[in-house]
Amino acid sequence: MNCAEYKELLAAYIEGLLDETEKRSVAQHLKDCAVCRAELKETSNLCSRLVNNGKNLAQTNLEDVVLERIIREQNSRLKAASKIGASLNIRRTIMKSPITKLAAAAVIVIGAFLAIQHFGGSMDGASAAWADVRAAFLAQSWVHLKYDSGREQWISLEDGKFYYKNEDGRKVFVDRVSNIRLIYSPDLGEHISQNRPAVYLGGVIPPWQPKTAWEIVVGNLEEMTGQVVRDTEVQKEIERLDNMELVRFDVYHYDAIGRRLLVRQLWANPETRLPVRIWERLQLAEREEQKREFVTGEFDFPASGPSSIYELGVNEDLPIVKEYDRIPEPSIAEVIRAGSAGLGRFPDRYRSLTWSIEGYGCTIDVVYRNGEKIHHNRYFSLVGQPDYSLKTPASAEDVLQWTQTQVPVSIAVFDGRRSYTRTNPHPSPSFAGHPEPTVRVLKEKSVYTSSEPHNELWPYASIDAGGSFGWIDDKPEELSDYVGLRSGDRGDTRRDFYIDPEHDHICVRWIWWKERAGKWEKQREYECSDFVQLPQGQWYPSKRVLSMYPDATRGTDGSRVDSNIDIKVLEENECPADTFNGEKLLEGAKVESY
Amino acid sequence: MSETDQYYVERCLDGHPDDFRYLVRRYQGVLLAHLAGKLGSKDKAEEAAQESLVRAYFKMDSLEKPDSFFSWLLGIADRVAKEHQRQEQICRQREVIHSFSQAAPQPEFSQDYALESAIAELPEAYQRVILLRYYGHHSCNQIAQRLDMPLGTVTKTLSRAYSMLRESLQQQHNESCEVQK
Repeated sequence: MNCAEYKELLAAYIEGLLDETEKRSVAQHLKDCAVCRAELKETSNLCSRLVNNGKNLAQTNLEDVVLERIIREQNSRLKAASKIGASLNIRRTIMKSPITKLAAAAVIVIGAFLAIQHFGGSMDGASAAWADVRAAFLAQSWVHLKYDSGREQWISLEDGKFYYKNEDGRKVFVDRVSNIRLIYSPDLGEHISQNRPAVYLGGVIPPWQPKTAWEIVVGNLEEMTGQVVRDTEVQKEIERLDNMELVRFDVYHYDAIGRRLLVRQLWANPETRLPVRIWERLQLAEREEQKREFVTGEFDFPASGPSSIYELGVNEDLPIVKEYDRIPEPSIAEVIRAGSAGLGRFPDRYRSLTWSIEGYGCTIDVVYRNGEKIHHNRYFSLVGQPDYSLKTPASAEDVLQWTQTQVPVSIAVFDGRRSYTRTNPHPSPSFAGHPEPTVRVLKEKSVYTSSEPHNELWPYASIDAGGSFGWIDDKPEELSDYVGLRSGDRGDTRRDFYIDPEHDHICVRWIWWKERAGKWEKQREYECSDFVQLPQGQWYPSKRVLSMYPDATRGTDGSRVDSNIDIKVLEENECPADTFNGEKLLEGAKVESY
Repeated sequence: MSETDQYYVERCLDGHPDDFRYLVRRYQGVLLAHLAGKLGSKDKAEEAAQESLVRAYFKMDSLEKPDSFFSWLLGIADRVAKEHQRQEQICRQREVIHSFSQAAPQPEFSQDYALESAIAELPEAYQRVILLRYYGHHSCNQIAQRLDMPLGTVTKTLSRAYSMLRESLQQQHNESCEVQK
């Protein structure tokens, strides 16, 4: 090694980043070369000087002072922008400076700051911060909201008692303190049903969400803590409405794929600081049901509100029917735990193939699961398939081979954070709902993955309302070997679960009952049989039958679908390449996301 | 704190200004060293570093490549330092005019930041590596990631930077000896 080579390696040598051979040749060179030895000493001195200086400067922390300066600067920019808006009256001040986005986002951060700086000061709109509106709201006794959809609601700010009535005649009272909900709905029949919004196993009542009247009406924005709530942003503007100058807060939400959506607007009176109007974008289900995109509500703050559900116009003679009666016995909890344990023992990596190619439901589901929460599902339909060449009985190999040549009707990928579902046009024209592929992106919390053994074989174990289970007293003869649990959490429906302790507590019969004219009738029934054991000892049924029973009230006939199940346990990385590539699904398709 | 600059820049632009905190934490040491080297005093460096960070925050949406935040920030700091120097010069000239009968005050020369001013004189590539290593407290591997270069290039750059720094310090030393003579 010569001096030039050594010089290049100097830093790596000091940092200890050389391999053994290099280290040895550097040491040898240093031994031989006095110049380089002297230089190494000087460099070491230099390095310790650098380390010391670095340490000294690290004692200065600029974080707080910089953030404070940013807030101050933001504040004065916002004020300047709002003042221009106030003088222009009807024209909205949209803060089109390069800082628009940041300025808007910072409103939440500076909310508390503004409250301290300006509350009680000048009464111009610019100084009415989100936090002020919240504070004024919380100082009331009741809030009453009347929406243009016909919905009307009253919430007590003292104890959270919550009443509402909808245009469809539904009337509801919720008491958070005693965890009771009373519901009257014309559809449910002539009674008021009483349930507990949530009870966990062992009678534990979970914390309420949303927690406060403010959260119910406006949303869960924890602006008082000075924290920006993830995925949400508030922007403030001045607007003249009905000849009155109001402050408008626009609440934006970032959806699953990062699009910025205006979800809510709140108008407040800058003098009283109280909200006067709210505009809300409806959830997808509400949009479809109500055939409208958004609703507008008008606020008022009465001194008192309804004192019972009857004041909303419910007939006082109607009986209250309790939909819960017992807390699970310890032995019932035991069964549910055993089921959860069976579910927990099931392999984490597998390919599951479910096919039914007889009768009406001709479908194939190929599901890959790769560890916790990573899941890929392909669904094929055989109805109307031009080259449908699969004939029963088909082996799992035949089916898999066939799927290689087909376009799936839907593909779903869940990668642990989001679920992507791509729906392709159905091969049969009579089923073609979507002429072009659509993609949906769902956030983790709203993901439901069906057609997986995980979700299908232990249905009773994933129901957290354990309090609604009881024993089945009238077990039929042929099912007497199984543990029978009955869930009756709805007035006129109930579900029976027959559980097989011999096979990992899998539910071998799952029966849905419906009460019609005072008589309990079977609606549908799943039956598992032909148990197969996996190499690690877990069981699964290789046959599953779904029976639908005729329903005279709906005029439907009965039907029966026989499914075959084949499960193969996979090693890590044994899943097909690209299986878990959700991004790929997004390419070139129409996207709707939540 | 282990997220990339790009992540925090995008978080800020997406309306989470509080995440700017992490970028401040990451680069305050580097900025202070860089500015102390240019301005010759810690107080001035602190003031200029604050100014640079606040400016960077409000200009973030003009940052074209969010992964080059660090270089961009140093660029802003350079401009701020220049402005401060110019202001100082103007002040000093005014003082000179006010007190024309007295001797003009000597521009302060701070031996404390001789090292940092030598760093500030290095070509950019060398400067960045030294700043990140000693004032940003990055390991060589982290520097390689941050600047997107092979580890070998990082250590070679460091080696050359050491040698340049030693030379420049030696020169400073010689000059100050001559002044004293």
